[in-house]
Amino acid sequence: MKLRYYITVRLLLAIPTIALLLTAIFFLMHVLPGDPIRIMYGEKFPTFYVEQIRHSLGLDRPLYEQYFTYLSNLAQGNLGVSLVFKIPVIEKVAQVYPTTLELAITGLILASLLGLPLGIIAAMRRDGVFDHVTRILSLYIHSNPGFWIALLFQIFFGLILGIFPISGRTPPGFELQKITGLNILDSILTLNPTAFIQSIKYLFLPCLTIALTSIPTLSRLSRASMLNVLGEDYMVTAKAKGLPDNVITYKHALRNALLPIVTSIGGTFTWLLGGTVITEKIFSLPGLGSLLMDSLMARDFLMIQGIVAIYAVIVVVMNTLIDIIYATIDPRVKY
Amino acid sequence: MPFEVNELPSRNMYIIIAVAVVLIAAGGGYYYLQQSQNAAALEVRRQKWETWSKTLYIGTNNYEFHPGGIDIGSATATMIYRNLIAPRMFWVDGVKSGQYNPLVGESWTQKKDADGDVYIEFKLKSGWKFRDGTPITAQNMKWNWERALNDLPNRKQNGESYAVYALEESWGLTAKKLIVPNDQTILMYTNPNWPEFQPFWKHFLFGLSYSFMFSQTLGEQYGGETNTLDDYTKIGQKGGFGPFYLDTWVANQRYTLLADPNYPVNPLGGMAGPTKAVGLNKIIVSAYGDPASLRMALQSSEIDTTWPGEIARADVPSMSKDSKLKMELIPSLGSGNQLHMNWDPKFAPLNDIRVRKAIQYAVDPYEIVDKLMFGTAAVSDSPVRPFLDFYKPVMKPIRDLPMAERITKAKSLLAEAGFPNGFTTQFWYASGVGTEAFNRDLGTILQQQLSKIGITLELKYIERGAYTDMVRAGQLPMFARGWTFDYPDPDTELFYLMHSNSPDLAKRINFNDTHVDALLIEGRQLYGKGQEARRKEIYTELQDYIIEKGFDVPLYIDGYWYAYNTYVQNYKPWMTTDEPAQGMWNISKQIPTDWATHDPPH
Repeated sequence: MKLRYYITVRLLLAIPTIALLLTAIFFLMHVLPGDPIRIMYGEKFPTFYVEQIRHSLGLDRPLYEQYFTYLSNLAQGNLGVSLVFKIPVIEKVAQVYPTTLELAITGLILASLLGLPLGIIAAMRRDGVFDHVTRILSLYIHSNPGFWIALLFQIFFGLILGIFPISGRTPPGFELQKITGLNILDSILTLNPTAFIQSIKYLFLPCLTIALTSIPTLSRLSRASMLNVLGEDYMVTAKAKGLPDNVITYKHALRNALLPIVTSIGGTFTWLLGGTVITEKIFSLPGLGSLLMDSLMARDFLMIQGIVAIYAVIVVVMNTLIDIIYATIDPRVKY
Repeated sequence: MPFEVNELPSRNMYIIIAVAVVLIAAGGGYYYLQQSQNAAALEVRRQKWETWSKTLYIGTNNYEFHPGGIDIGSATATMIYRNLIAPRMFWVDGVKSGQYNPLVGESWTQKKDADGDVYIEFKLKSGWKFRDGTPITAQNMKWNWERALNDLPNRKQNGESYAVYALEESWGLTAKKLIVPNDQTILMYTNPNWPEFQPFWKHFLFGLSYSFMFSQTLGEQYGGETNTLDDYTKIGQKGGFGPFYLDTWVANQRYTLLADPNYPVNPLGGMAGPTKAVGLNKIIVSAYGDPASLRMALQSSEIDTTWPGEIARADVPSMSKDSKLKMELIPSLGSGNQLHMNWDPKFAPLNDIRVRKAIQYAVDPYEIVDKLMFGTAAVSDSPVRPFLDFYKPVMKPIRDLPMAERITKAKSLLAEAGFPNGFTTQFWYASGVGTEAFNRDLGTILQQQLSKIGITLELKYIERGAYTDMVRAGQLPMFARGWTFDYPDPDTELFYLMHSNSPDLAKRINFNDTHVDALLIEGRQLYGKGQEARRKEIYTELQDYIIEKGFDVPLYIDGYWYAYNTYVQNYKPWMTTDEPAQGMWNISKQIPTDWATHDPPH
């Protein structure tokens, strides 16, 4: 089977998967008890207007009609209009998504830079002091929930040392020409060193928080993967051939050990792209996670429905991409 | 060798002297430069502090703008807008409850026309303008009020919908509605079916607590259903006439307000209504995702104050010990929620007055305030809150008794009613983010308290919308209900809750009693007619009756916590209404005495 055919099949399979997910989301939102309009507008809101709003949103129509309208709108990229923000859901998501994207990318880079070397070195020094310390630390960090780490960072770096802001994405008076919406990238593109430093300063703690929550997984996985590879016969052969240690490690062992790690990194990135709800909320970052949380609090059901649909699409698309990347980089994968 | 007078100094001596002179000059120059630099640095620092002292940094958990129409959804933003940017005609005095002071409005008079129809004649002051330069005229007011009514389906906030409900009830069915005879006069015809009860009208209509005023020109240009954030910002920048105006808005992060340097000084003072801000020229409201971050930001001086009421209750006791902070509870502020324990008396055995009285004796609100509210609320002894006229602490005689005695009395009442071993009933509460845990904890405390007299309370919960419908339909035996203050009269606590014909949207308990109905109507009819003695009798009797018949167990009155750094001066809470942004024009900040040793936080 050719790679192109494999990719086509994977992409085609993603379509029914997404359709099933969206159907499940729609019906879940509609079988939940309670009247969303009454909940959102409050108990004192006159019944006449509740009916008027329900009619304007089409909620008084039969469920199957609502479902087909929903699918038809989705096919046109229309996720509806937020009841709270009064703007299209997709527009609101586009406003906040750069924050999540920036956090996800920087968090993943930091986690990879720290997690992978730690795991690899631990594997190379198996059962040594470094290996034990790394494993204990990984376990410890992994046992701490993200919100707890975030609060500790805020207390230590923000309240006690005062070197990082407690929360927010930018300081008052922050000026930056918006190109991509990613502050760090935009400050580089516009050669704005002040904005660059401020962006880094504000992003550092949340980025470190989500990196720390991902590091244990990456380091443990890279250690295990590296150990597997080091135990392979071809490694013994390489040693027997008298190859230098660094060649054995980096050329033969690491390249093969990276295959499962790539999958894991892809999964982590998918998770981060979905918005790290707690981290965004604690650090007041206006991202997708915060938006979902705020929408839940405000009972904006169209926004919730839209965000969950976007999550679903992200997960399916990312998993499909990971499959494709894996098939591309691993010659053993049959397709 | 001794130096002789007629001998010239050697060459080396010249060099030494020259070097010394150069060194002294360089040293002096360096010293001078250092001093100059120090002075310059000090001046820069002084300016930073000066800027800092003119800027108020507020942190809030509730910050999102809702750009639908020209109204704002989040509580914080709405308060900021309608109190600082785009205020109202009249202003509720900050100290004297129920007093309305003129702002743009000069006077109001209730009149009848030749046909006997009632209307209110508003007179506006001349010379007031919106920031876009258009004069504030009666036509502009009419446009704003009609906008308030006609756009009702787009409203989100409870308070808004209630206020607009009031608008509709007052003049929604009146064909004439609003008439503008000239630029300075507007006549508001009222619904002939609506009882002439002025506190209600005043609160919702005269002060128009919902309907903050915008320029019609800008409103029509940018205030549509689907206006963009930029449009909305333009309205905030140019559309109002308050002491502050919107400068910038960073989505989901902060908004910055600037003080209007040309705003008039209020001749009645800063507690009578908006006035020119003298201590501040900027307010920055920043978003914080959770109360813990808010607390840290306050303690690190990243912000000067938090939005009232947003400090976590559990933090209040420890924060009160921080000498750098000032913590103030305003229990009597309008929107302070009064919590009651209620039941539907048609459910057996709650239909027996002795059973209801037994519960009144057994429930201990002090424990609830202590354990659930961390001591941050005031125990309530009446269906009416203490600062309202005719308040009578009717529950106090019961609550002054030792708890053991109360339990004994409760048990004997239950025995008299035929339940010596108690009975089992249900306490219902609503599920939902934010309130479910609180309601569950409240139910657990009540469960534990009533178990002492043999009553087994089963805790049940259901989704909020269904819960409300079931309460109104009389399907729940026992539940808690909260009620916030609307206008300064005991009617605000009693009419909507206890009158059998209370409008559906306000009805919170399934309560019908003809005696109570008659008293409530009479109390309304006598308002403003010099019958205060009779009104006192009526509302005293109502409080006695409701408690004596066991229809209510008032628990506590909640309030707003004001938390700010001690360098914030003149921050006086507006005691008479539920609008915390009021009075921010009075605030100033004190520069610390050791300012020269460090930079300000911003």
